[in-house]
Amino acid sequence: MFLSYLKIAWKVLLRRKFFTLTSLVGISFTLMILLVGVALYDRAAGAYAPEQYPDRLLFGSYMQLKMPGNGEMKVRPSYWLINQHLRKLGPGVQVGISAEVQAVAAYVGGRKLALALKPTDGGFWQVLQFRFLAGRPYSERQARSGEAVAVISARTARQYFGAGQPAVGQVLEANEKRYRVVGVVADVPTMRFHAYADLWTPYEPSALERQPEVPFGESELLLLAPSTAAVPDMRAALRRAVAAIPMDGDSRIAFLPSTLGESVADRLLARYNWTSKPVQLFRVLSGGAVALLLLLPALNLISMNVSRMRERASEIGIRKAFGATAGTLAGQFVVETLVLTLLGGLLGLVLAAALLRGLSNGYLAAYGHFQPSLVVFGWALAATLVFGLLSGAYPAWRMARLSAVEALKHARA
Amino acid sequence: MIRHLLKLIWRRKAANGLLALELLLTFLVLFGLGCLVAVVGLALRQPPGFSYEQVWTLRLATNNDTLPQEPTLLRLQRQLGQQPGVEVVSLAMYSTPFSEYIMNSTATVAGQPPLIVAEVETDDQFAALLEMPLLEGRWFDRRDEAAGLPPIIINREMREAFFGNRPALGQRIRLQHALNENEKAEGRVVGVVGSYRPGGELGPPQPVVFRRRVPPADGTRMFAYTLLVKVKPGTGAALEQQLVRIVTAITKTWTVSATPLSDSRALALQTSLAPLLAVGIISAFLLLNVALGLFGMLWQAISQRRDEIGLRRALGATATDIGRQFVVETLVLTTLALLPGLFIAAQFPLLGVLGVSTHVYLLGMLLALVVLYVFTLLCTLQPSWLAARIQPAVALREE
Repeated sequence: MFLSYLKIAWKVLLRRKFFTLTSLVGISFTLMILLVGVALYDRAAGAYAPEQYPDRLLFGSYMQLKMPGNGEMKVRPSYWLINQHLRKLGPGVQVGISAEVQAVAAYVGGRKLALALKPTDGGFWQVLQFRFLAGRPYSERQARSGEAVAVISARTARQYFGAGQPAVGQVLEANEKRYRVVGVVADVPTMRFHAYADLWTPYEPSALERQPEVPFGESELLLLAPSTAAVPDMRAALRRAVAAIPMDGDSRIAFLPSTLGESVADRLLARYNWTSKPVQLFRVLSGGAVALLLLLPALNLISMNVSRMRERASEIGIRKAFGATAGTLAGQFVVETLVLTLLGGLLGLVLAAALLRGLSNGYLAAYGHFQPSLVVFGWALAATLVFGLLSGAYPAWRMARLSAVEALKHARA
Repeated sequence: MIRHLLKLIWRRKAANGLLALELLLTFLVLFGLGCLVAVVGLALRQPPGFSYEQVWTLRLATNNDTLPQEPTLLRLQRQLGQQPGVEVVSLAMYSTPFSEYIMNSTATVAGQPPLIVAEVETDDQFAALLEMPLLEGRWFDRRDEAAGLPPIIINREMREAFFGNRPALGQRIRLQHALNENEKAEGRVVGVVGSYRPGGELGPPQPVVFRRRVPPADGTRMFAYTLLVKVKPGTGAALEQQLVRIVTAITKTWTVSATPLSDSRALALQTSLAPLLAVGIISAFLLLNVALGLFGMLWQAISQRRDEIGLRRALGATATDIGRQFVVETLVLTTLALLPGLFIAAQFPLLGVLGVSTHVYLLGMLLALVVLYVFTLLCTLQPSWLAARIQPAVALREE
């Protein structure tokens, strides 16, 4: 029975070529766009090294500074503030500090090598799980004393020292300063902006950030909880520690810690002065885009299904005349819709995989490797199935209830 | 005629209604895209007011240097200027081209409401280095050293906001730092430059005021300085390394990063065009769906209305008439779908929800309307042609 349904469905699809094409294009393109979009987001906010455990991580990039008479300001904390007041946040909580990347230059054989340098403390290497290809990170003691040591990325090692040459123990000169390389890590994509750099070094001892009583700078706080369950406690501990920081006059500060996903949304929209709540805006925008992407193909599918059923009145009439029940007919139409949706879904997956492969090799090579997420594929396919069933079921039900005489009388060639 | 067409559309209200909903949603997304295009397009029409070729930015961080900074800075400028390959060096604080360091001040002129302006503190070489057009008066020069009231230069936007058609030269302007009430300055306008936009071609036009930098009292320490360096064409990494070396040698503890303005400009353009690209991709996808929906509906309609077409042909309608009927019917349907869309879009300028001028919204609506009408027209042509080819005899015999 089921097999004959499938056979009929296949024949019907081949006969109505335009209808099949429209549905396939609608479904497969929708799935492709959703899969590519989610893959890009996943690359930025998913669980990959160095942010291996995004559920346990919190980032404190901004503080809210309230000054009486001057309103609110969004400021970044300094190394000193974090180091002095926010080191102890409960048992098992790892604390790291890092600054925004700085553009520095190294010169190799008359060529400029533009490098992104990220100053960090020693805890940074505990909070984030970098994959070390050689050597090891610098210690908290080395970072505190501002020793001229550096961890470099595999790409930097290749470009500066040459492919296959040992880098650990060598000296790398950037911005006229000589760093001793202590470790080489796998490349970090630029999308991973909390971790990304070509060169990680301790803060300069003379950096303004490190001077006592300078609360604001260009740093961020990185926190790793011992388990997912401990994250609320960590948030509470951070709030208490921040409340205990003595401030001049009536000024008050509050940290705005964000999860990895929130900080990505923040970063994406922060460049545009559209809103003060980028996370909410990001949710609204992406939700709206997904709704539109699903809704329009669904509308097409519904309108096509409605008119298609009318066309097949003669077929329905004949089958009814020979004794098919309404249930049998409705079942047949539902199977047809399912076949079509599944075909479109498979096509969409293939398209998305091809597009992502192309992007990873070309335009987005610097951002790492992309893969379509099978979980999202499942959800999107389920969504299209629901739409397909809804759009197919109502006309199927209506047509299946037609009486044979009625259907045959109004049938057209 | 139109009433008749409306009746025809109403008779197929289920299919037409779904299509109208699709058209409406697509119009709203296209309206968003149109607004973004309008913002970028309006900004691109005006030059940024400076030239970025062969100019490098040297950002110097002083790293808590305890030595007096002013002599170091003077020595540095002299040394850099003497390098072969370097044409001019200029020192500027805040709001240099593509800089993210901006200082906002409240400017007041007698008899005018105050205005928030971007402030640039710089020297005599700045305008010549960036090839800024001078509309009135002059740029800073040595004469200003002895001036009683400090000289001030404003850009075109500020001149229009404050003085309109009245003369600007010689007027007094008072400045107050937007956050720190103690930082005040007063000056007299000696020149007006073109519309200097620090964000570049895609940056918003904004009022800017230039002050001549006066060496501060001894012991004043700044966190950072910005030097603009104009170099001769054809100089590259070797000169850059040389400049970085000089800065390190003279300042000992300062750190420097050198960026060509053309690189900063490319980054700024990329930032501004990214949302356009995203909305563009979504719009293209929605339009594709609309096209498929339109084709499907029209083909369906034509095959179902063969008898109607045959009858009209038999009664003397030409093939062109039939084709026109389908085109006009689709356009009427599009218009019906767009009316609520226009109503929704009109709320944006009426309520002023986002700080964008009405021009942008109108342009956005216009662009969306044009794109959608042209698109539906193109999608109708082929099915209408099919309908026009129907032979009355054949169609009526089937009936």
